[in-house]
Amino acid sequence: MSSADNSEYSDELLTRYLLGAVKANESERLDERSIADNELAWRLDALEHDLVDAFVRNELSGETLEQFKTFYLSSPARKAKVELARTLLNWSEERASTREMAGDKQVEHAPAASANHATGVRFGWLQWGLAAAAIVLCAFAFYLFEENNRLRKLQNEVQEQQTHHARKNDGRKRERGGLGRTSGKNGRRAADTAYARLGAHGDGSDSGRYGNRRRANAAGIG
Amino acid sequence: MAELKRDWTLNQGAFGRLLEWLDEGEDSKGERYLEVRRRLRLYFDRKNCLSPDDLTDETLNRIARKLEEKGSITDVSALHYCYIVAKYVFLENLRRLKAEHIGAAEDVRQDTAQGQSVKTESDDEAREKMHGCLEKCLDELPNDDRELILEYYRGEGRETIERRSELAGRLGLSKNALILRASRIRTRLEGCVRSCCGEG
Repeated sequence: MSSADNSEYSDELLTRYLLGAVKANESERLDERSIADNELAWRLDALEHDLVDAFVRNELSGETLEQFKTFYLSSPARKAKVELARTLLNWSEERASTREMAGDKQVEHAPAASANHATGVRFGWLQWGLAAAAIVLCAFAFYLFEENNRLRKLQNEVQEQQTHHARKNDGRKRERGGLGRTSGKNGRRAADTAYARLGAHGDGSDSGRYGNRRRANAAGIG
Repeated sequence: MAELKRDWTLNQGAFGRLLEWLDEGEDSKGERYLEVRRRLRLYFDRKNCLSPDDLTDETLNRIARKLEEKGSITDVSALHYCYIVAKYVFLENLRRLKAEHIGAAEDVRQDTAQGQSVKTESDDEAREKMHGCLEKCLDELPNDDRELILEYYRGEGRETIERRSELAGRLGLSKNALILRASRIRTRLEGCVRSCCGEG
């Protein structure tokens, strides 16, 4: 069976077939195709679902509604399909309402050109996840920046202190190197130096080392 | 076509041969068999037969037996042959009912009338059971399919049409392709609910 043959069967004709409203010879041809032709079989499924949904939504009228009630609903299996359709439609509305109440705005405001609804719901979670990750990263970067600044300041302070101490030590060293120091080893050097100066200008009567010492004591040195 | 002997039963070997024959060279893992079974049931139901499932079983048993006897059936396609056997089964059933002075249509009308007089409690129980089965079957659907069904059946009237156009655009499908996809998911749901409710 060629699928191209299906073009001869309009949706209107197939709907009448489903409602038992076609002639016997047409019905027999469609019976055969409904089993042997995949495309026609699936078309019939889709049309039957639409027909049942329309009935459940009170969208049928006139002759179609009468045929639906008298023929379609005469079968327990088809009545069960109607009940299932009613349940499915109610479930769909309930689920949608529950999501709206839960604030799932992706369902309500999914843009037409974006990804499909199934991935739209998942995309909402992904979006929030990425946003949360970005916030965490920014916070961490800010923390690192602040920590860096703090450590720099600390380093500068330490350097300043080191410089201050170094200067202080230098000053002390210079002080220790001057004449004000008269005791110990440094004091004796200072005394000898002072003595040498005295010796250059003394009376020559005292000689030798002890003579030199007497002269130094007299000078108040040593 | 000879009537099936009452003592013949479909054994494992015959069933395997039937599956293979229906697959016509492709291993469908039983999907083809289930689809053929569904179409046969719909055929008998549209003919307003009282027991579409029994007549479907009868049809498939006869085909399996023929395969066992002849080894193969190659003059027509598998699906076409299924229709031929189904037609014979239907006509035989009709003759039998007429012979017993009960028409199929009359039987159904009586059955319907009796059904209407049945206490509503069983109807409510059946409805409750169906609701529970539908929930269960929906949970078993893949997420994408469940979301598609949710979106496809939302709204009413004009809103439904617009929503479906939007959905088709988002999925990158034509309108007809979306209709077929939703229909197949729903057909699967119907089969699941029927099994869950114990209707075969």
